[in-house]
Order: sequence, then C-alpha cells, then structure tokens
Amino acid sequence: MRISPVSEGELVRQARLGDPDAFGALVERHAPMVRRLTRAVLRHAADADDAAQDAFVSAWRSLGRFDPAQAFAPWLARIALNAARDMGRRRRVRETEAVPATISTPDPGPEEDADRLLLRQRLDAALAALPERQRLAVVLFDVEGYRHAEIAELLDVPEGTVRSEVFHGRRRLRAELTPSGGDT
Amino acid sequence: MTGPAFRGERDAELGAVLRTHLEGADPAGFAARVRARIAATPLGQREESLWDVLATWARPGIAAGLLFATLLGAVVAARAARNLNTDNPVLAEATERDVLVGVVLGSAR
Repeated sequence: MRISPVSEGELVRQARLGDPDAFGALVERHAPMVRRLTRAVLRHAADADDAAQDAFVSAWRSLGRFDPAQAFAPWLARIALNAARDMGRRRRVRETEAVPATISTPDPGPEEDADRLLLRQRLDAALAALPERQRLAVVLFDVEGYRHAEIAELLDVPEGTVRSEVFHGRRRLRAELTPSGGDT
Repeated sequence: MTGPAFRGERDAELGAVLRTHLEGADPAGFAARVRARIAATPLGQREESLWDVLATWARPGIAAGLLFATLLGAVVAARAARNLNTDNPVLAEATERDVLVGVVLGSAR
C-alpha cells in the first residue's frame, strides 16, 4: 500500500517537533522495509533487528537535520544501510574475538515444513554468495521498488552500475536457486 | 524458477520470494521495542553536531562580517581621501594639475 505523502509529511513534521507517537507511527510504517534492508546486509536475523533499532534511534536523533522537502523513506533507508554496515563491522570484530560462528537463520518453528526450510536454506546460501552491493541492488529494486537512480544515490554508485548489479545479481540468485537447472 | 529477461522492469517473482525471506518476525514486538528506545531518548538528548551549531552561526556571522568590512572600508577610504587633500596639498594640487593637463592634451588630439 502506498502511503499518502500528505499524512506521511504531517507525521514527519510532528516527529520533528519531538512527538514520539508520530515517530512511532513512522516506525510502524517503515519497519518492514528497514528490517529487510538490514537483513539483506547482515544476513542474520537478530543482528539485523538490532541494526534496525539502531537505525530508528539514529533517525529520531537526526530528524532535525532531515529536509522535509525530501522523501522520508530513502533518507531512512540510507540510515538503515549505514547502521547495518556499522553492525557488520562490529560483528566482524566480535567474531575475531570469539570463535564459534552463529547460525544465520533462526530455528524454524514446528509449522515450517521441509520444503520451506529447504527454500530458506537455499535463499540464505544464494544471498550469501552475492557481494553486498549486488545483493542490495536486487533487494532495493525488486523488493523495495526503488528506481535505479534512487538506488544509485543510496549506494553512492553510478546508475549504470546499479543496472548491471541488478542484472548480474538476479542471474546469480536464480542460478543458485536452481542448481540442477530446473524450475522451482 | 524462471524470470523475465532484464529489460529494466521488476522481477515480481524473485522480489516476492526475497520479500518473504527477508521479512522480520513479530512486527508488533519490534515496533514496541523501538518505541521504548525512543521514549528513553528524550528531546534533550537529541544530538546536534558541531557542524549544525556552526551552520546556525554561519549566516548571521557572514552578514555581520560583510557589514563590518564595508563600514571599515568606507572609514579607511574617507580618511585616506581627507589625508590626501589636507595633509599633502602639494601632491593633491599636482595630481589635480596632471589630471587637468591630461584632459586638455587628450581633447586636443
């Protein structure tokens, strides 16, 4: 569902004045996108949620610097990507200090059947096989619906690079998801 | 899994699979946790960077600086002009005579 720019603008205006409830409403609207992006960067559910929380707190603190004439979602997406990368750096430091690696996917619930579990594992492997920029280009374009130019701005790369990354990322993802060459 | 050739449009099938895969669990719980952290960050703790502070000073500072420089320049110029005319009358007279000769010769050519 597309959010009305007027109502979103009003929420941003109220949040900028320090209204935590208005910001809470923005959190509920944008949390799915922020969590998907942090997950795409970190590929670890718990770390991704920590990074997403950090992103929202950072956005709340920085709202005074947000230009209300601009769209809120891309601004928030950029903060989310930065928070996730920061969390990734901290995780790498942590992992060099503590040896055992964590499992990237939480335990499936009893309702998750074998096929879904298999698909989840293959998707984890497929996403892990992509370089971060390629992964993000595909997620931002095919999942979040951003335009190439917007993604280029978010990732600080030329638009042509985004098009190329989306193309190659998709191809590699599909190849990883169909190892035998058949359709799934 | 097959997908459309890349022509700049979205791959809805791949997008839907990825969306489901990346979706976070317990959205209500997540929002509640963020709200709690926001509530624990009162307005007084909202960060204002050094650059923000400097930016608030910059515009009035530059305007005041320009005004001061203009006034100072006007004062110095007025004083220099007065000194030229009063403290060194010979030079002032010579300058005036040179200018006058220049004008006459120039108009004669």
